[in-house]
Order: sequence, then structure tokens, then C-alpha cells
Amino acid sequence: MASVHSLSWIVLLPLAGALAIFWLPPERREAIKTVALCTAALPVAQVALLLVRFQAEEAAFQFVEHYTWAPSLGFEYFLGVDGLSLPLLALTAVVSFLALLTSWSVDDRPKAFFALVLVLETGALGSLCALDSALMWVFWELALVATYFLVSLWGGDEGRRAGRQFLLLSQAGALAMLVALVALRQHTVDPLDGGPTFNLLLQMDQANHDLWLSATRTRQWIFVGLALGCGVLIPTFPLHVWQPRLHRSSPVAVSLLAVAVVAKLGFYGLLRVAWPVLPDAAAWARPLIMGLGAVAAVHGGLAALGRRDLAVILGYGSFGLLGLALVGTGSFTEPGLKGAGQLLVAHGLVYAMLYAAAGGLRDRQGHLDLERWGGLFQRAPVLGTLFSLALLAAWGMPGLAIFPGVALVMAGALATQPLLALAGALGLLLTAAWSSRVIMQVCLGDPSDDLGDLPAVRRRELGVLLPLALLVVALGVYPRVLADLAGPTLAALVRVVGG
Amino acid sequence: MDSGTFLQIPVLAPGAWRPELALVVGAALVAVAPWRRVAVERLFALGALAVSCGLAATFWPAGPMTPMGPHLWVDQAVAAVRLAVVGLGLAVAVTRPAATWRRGEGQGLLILALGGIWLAEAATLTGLLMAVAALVLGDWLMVRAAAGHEEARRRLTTGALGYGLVAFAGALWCGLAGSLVLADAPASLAARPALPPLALPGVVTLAAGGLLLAMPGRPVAADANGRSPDRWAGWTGVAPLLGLSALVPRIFAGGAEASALAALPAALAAVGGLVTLGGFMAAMARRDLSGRLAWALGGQFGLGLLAMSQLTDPGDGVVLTRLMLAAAPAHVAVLLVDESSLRRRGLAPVLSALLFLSLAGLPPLAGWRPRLDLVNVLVDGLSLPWLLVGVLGALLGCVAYLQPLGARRMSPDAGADDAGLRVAPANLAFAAGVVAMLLAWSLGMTPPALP
Repeated sequence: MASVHSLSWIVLLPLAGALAIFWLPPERREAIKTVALCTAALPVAQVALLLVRFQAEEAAFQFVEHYTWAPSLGFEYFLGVDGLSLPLLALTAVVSFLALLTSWSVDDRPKAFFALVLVLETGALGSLCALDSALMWVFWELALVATYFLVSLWGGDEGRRAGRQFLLLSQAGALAMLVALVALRQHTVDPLDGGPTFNLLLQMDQANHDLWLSATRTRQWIFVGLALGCGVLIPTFPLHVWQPRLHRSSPVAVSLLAVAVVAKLGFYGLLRVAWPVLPDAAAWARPLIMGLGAVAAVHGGLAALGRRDLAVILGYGSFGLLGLALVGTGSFTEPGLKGAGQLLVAHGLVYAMLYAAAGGLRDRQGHLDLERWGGLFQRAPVLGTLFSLALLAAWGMPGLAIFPGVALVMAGALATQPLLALAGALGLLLTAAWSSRVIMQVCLGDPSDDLGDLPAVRRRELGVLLPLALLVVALGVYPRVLADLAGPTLAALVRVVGG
Repeated sequence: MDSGTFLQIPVLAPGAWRPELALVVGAALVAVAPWRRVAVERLFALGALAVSCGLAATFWPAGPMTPMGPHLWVDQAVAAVRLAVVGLGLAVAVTRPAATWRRGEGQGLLILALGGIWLAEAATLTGLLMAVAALVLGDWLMVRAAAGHEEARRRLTTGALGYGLVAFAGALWCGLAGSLVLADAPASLAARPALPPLALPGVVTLAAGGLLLAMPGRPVAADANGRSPDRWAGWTGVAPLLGLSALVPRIFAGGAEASALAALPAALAAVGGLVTLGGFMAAMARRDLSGRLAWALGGQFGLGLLAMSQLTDPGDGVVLTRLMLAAAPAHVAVLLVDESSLRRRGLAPVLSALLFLSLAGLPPLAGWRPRLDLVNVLVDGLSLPWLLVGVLGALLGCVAYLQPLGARRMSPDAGADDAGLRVAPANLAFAAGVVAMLLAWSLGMTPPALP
């Protein structure tokens, strides 16, 4: 039952789970994993209840919790969800749960690993619910720090380097974002007490901005700070350099969380803060944003074609698809934004599926080298089918989850920047090329000699892949679910940014 | 200058001497007592610190300390720093096993604490010089007992040089202003039609002297395993910086609105920027934990100076105090559970990780709150170059603090001798207390009297 503190429960339960894990003795590995899984399952159930109770026709924030935190600094404990944040909240809860499930075989310091995944989940969920920008930044940092440790501690030497890159870039972005948020706070006047405020709803109302913040150049600088913070996580070209190394070295669950959860925070930051608070600056940066998206779409596809490591291929594929979502986000049209919203959720589900399947492959052979794989359909038909389904979804096959989002994004982009839309289409073509290459090599190729004793699909793998496959098909066949949920919020956003 | 001003020595100033008196009496007893046994010295040191700590807490926030400055926050900052100095001194003394004490350390500990408090409270040049002398003497006594004569001589040389620079700069500063009262100097200078040419070198020399006293000589070289033999857990470096964090804002806040002093904030910003970047970069180059932390604490001090240089509001100076109040306990606690960072089990590594995160300025502990204040002040100052320096400094600081946390946990032999690494329960309790305090601060549950 959804209570008045539903969002607090959703956000803080994983953190409570991390604290509970801390008290368990390290040798009780099964208990640690079970506690982690149970505490990650509770937010899934809570979010499901919220989805049922959510009034989709309203663009306003719902399930709001609003308390004073530190009045002298203008902080508030202010949570709420709307049609933009709720689907991403659901995605985060589901993907975090599945990431824990795929990590069942992690036996290297499981206590720290599972606790950090739960901390990351709290950070991500909190960022999606926060309506106070300082609170959002705190949760944001929590998610970034947890990601850094997950990448660094479980990725070996290469992971350490990836972690260092991620730390530098993400903290530089977070600090740029903090400066921008503080500047917004300093120059947004709370109409009730006349003081500065971090309250996002008040910041969205341009009438509360003072003279300093009304200057075009100032707003552009602040927008750049926000965009840098978000751009590192999305990741946009050329801030994506941390990504390939991360995918090469990290456990599959970490890659999964990085593409399906952390990347979404970047988009959410743009759509929740940068777009509505500084719409004119967003319009100024629009060609650049769409251009970067198009570059990512093409670059991601080309890079994926030229790699042998499946984890890296999927990383670049994800980078390309998110580039396409960025094109839609920057189009400022209703179809473009709706498409981007759908694409974000669909991308999370499809890539969660792909990484979960890739994890299964790595578990069997200890590597993800494309050239050394083959014959998956013959040796493990169920796993091969589900893996192929995800790959087909990734290239935008009609009837599967990514297609409606891609179609809407292309429609939105064609209406505003046809050349960039064509670049996005080229990116899709490249996605089709690398997806088919992977299917041909891994699923249809000759069984490699060193395949050894390949077990059939395991129950846990089925538990992860089957629900995801059902969701991928369901959202492809009936995409209106997402459109109805996010429609009013995104329409309101388009009215703000589109003039 | 009149003799009344000249004799305004902190220990004699009414309303401000109580916590210090216990330290003075304790140090004197240790020095003159005929039975100078280590156990007795330890007892006296612990007793004096405990009494001093109690007095500092009782008289905090100290209302009647108006000569300390024109703003209320100044009083609160001094009171908080005073409590922090004796509180941390008591903590490192209590957590140190009795068997490892050596003769002279107790006396040094008390004199060093006295110097830290005097530095925070110094109202006149005389008070400032007394404080610096106490710091140099206390440090020398402690290092001589803990690390031998050679190391002590090195520290004494550095300290004496710092003392000389501070004395020279202070004399220059006060001579130009025509007053020995430190807080009067900016206002006196502001009353002049043009800033005297020697004022800027005075600021720079003062800063250089202060840094010389506080930074480079502090860390003792680590052993082959990267562990610090400095059994006083960095407190010897923390006490002067804490004192300075209350003193520096008090001196410069007087000139906040003075347009004639427009060049001073620029000099302060330049010093702050250099200290920030230099401190954090030097920290990143150190492989031993105590050295890295000592230099990084210097970098944090630089961030505070940078915030102060904006001077858009007289209260901005308190950012420096807040930064040091958040960093100093975490710094000491990290070193007290140092060996625990090599462990993979129990409470110690978790506490250690949380403290490192706080030092890096990241949530959930309070380290991020002063960092937010800093950004607030820099944004208010509308100076893009200093804002960039501040952001770069904060980024380097974050990396400098997070790297050892990751590296130690990741090293292949980490945890290999897990069973042999014992962290004393008292150390753990102290670190847990610091974590709880910083968490309460982070959540906004702080007494209103905190600066």
C-alpha cells in the first residue's frame, strides 16, 4: 500500500539494506546476497504500487513529501514524481534488482559489492525523486561514488584505470554542476521569505529569477555547468572516454548499472533541471546537443563494429543509442521528447537483457571474445534465443521496445534538423550491422572447440532474462503505456522549451 | 600604542583564559615536578587536557569575548576551534597506549594545544608571537621524544624560520597600521588614502610564515609499508591549522568593506589558490598516508583562504573555520584507524572509508557542507578565475583523498595480514564518534552556536 512516505521508503530501503549487510559476518555469503536481493525487491513492489496509483493525466508532481532540512542554507527534503521520473524510477528499481540477481556468482568481497550496489540504487532513486536541487546533488554524488568504487575494486588493473578516469570526469562534472546549482540558488528568490532557494519548482518559475540570472550570458554559463555534469554520465562525445575501459574490465552487473541506471541520471538532469529552468539557454545549445547526439550515434555504431570484446561492443552500442535519444531530447518537439523518454526506458531494459546474457556467456567461458564464440543456438537454445531477441530489439526491430522510441525520435528530429536526423538513421544502420554480426558470430557460427561443457540456461538467468524479454515485447507491442504515463509531463515541458 | 594594548596577552585577557589555564598549569607541573616519570607526566597531560576540554565546552559559545572581533560568528569560531584543539588533543592522548608514551611528549602535547588555542584567540601581535612560539616549542618537544633529535632539529629549524617570518610580517603589518591589535590593522590601513606599498609583502610573508609553520615539516616519513610512525596521528599538524582557521578570518574580516584594501583580497586569493593547488598536488605525489593527508589538509586550508578572499560578506571568512572544523577531526581519526584501511573486515574499514569520503567533500558525512559554502562564496564573488581555481582545487582534493582509499583496498596483498592488524577499541570508538558527529552535522542537526 502506498503511504504518504512512499518515496522515502523507496529511496531509503536499499540504504537500509546496505547497512543491514554491514552487520552480517562476511562468511555468510548466501545471507548477504539474500538480504541485498530482498531489500532491492521491496522498492520494485513499492514502485509497482505507485504506478497503479499514479494519475497519468496530471502533469503535476505526485506523492510529494516536503520538509524543512537546513533553512539557513535553503535546503529542503522535497521529494515527488511525475510522468518523467516515474518510468525511470521503475526502470532503476527493476534493473538494480536484476543486477543483484546477475551478481549471484560474485564471491570476491560480496559484502562490499552488494552494499555498494544498494548504495548506488539509493543514490539513483533519490536523484530521480528529489525536487530540491541540493538534495538531488547529494544523491547524485552518492551514486557516482558507489559507481567509482564498483568499477575500481572489481575490475582489476584495468578497472582501476577506468575508475580513475571515471572519478576525474564525474567529479569535474559534479563540481561544475554544483557551481551551476549554487548560482541558480543564489539568484532565485523564494516569494514566501525572499531568501535564496534550492527548490526546483521555484527555480522553474522564471518570475523568481533575479536580474543577474536574467542575463543571457549568465544563463548560458550556468547551462554549460549543468550540461557538463549530465554529459559525463550520459555519456556524450567526447566525455565518454571512461566507458570502453569500464565495460572491458567491470563485472557485468556494473556495466549493466552504468548503462541502464547511471546514464539515465544524465538525461534526467537535463530534462528535470537544465531544460525547464533555463529554456532559453537550452535553445541556444540545442544545435550542439543534437550534433553531439548524432556524432555519438555514428561513432558508437562504427566503434562497435570494430571491436571483438562483446562487453565493449555493447558499451559502444549503448553509447550510440543514447546518442540517438540525445538527438530526440534536443529536438524540443513533442514526438522527439516522447520518443527520447520511451527510448531511455526501452534502452535500459534491452541493454540490461544484453548484459545479463553476456554475463551468462562470460560465466561459461570466462571471456567475451567474439572470435572465440559460436554455436550458441545449438548448445544453449533458450539463452541464444533470448540473446538474439535483445539484439534484434537493440537494432530497432518493429514490435520490440526500442522501435517506437526510435520512430518518434526520428520524426521529431526530421521536423527540426533533417541532416542530424539522417546521421541518427546512419547510426541505426550501423547498430543493425553490429547486432547482426554478433548474432551471426555468437549464435549462428560454428561451435568453437574450446566451448567445453556448456550448461543449459540456468534458472537464475531465466529469472532475469524472461521478465525482461516480456517487458521488451510488451513495450514494443503496446508502447502507449509509456506514452500515456509521460505524455502530460513531456507536453508541459515542450510548452516551456519549445516556446 | 598604549601599554594596555601591548599587554593584551591572551592568557591574561579576562573571560578568555579559562581552558588555557589548565594547560599552562599542567605543563608547568610536568616541568617542575621532581618525580618526572612518564606515567605521571601522562597522567598530568591527560588530566590537564580533560579539564581544559571541559572548560572549553562549558564556556562555549563564549559570549563575552567581544574583543575578538566585530562579528558574532568570530566568537563562535574561536570557541569552536578552542574546543576542537583540546578535544582532539585529548582524543589522541587517550587513544595512545600507555606503554608507548615517552618522556617529554606530555609536556609537548600540552604546550602545542596551548599554542593552537592562543593562535585562535590572538588579539595582538604579542599574542600571535607567543602562540607561534608555543607551537614551535611544543612540536619540537613532541618530535624529539617520538622521532629523535635529528628529526626534532629539522622541525625546529623549519619552525624557527616560520616564527621569524610571522614576526617580521606581523611587525610590518602592525607598524604600518600603528596598532598592535591585529583586527584593527585592516581598518587602520583602510583609513589611509592609498594602501602602503609594504602591506602586500606583509600579507604574503605572513602567509608564507604560517604555511612554513603548519605544513611542510609536519609529516614524518612513513615506513616501508606506507604506515606512519607519527604516533600522534597528525594532530601536531592539525593544531596550528585549526588555530589559524580562526585567526586569519578575524584579521581580514575587519577590512571587508574597505575599498582601499581592494588589493588585499587579490593577494589572499593568490596565496589561497597557490596553497590549494600546491597542497593537493603535493598530496597526490605522496605515497605515505600521513604525508598525503598533511599536504591535503594544507590544500583544504588554501580553499578556505580562497573563500575568504572574496569578502562579499564579512561572514564569508567562517568558511575557512568550517572547512577545518570538518576536516581536522576526520584527518586525525583516519590516522588513528590507519592500519584498519588495510583490513577487509569489521567496523574499522567502513569508518575509514566514510572519513575519507568526508575529507573528499562528498556526502554522506559533513565534509560536503563547507564545500558547498565555499562554492556559494566563490559564486557570490563573481570572479570566474578564482571560481575555476576553487573547483579545480576541490577536484584535486577529491582525487587526493579517494585514491588511497581505493588503492589500499585494491592492493593485492591488502588483507593478507588481516589477523595481525589490530585497531585499539579506543581508536575505533573515537573514529565512530567523529563519524557520528559529522553525520549529525551533515543532516543539519548542529547546535545553533556552531559557526
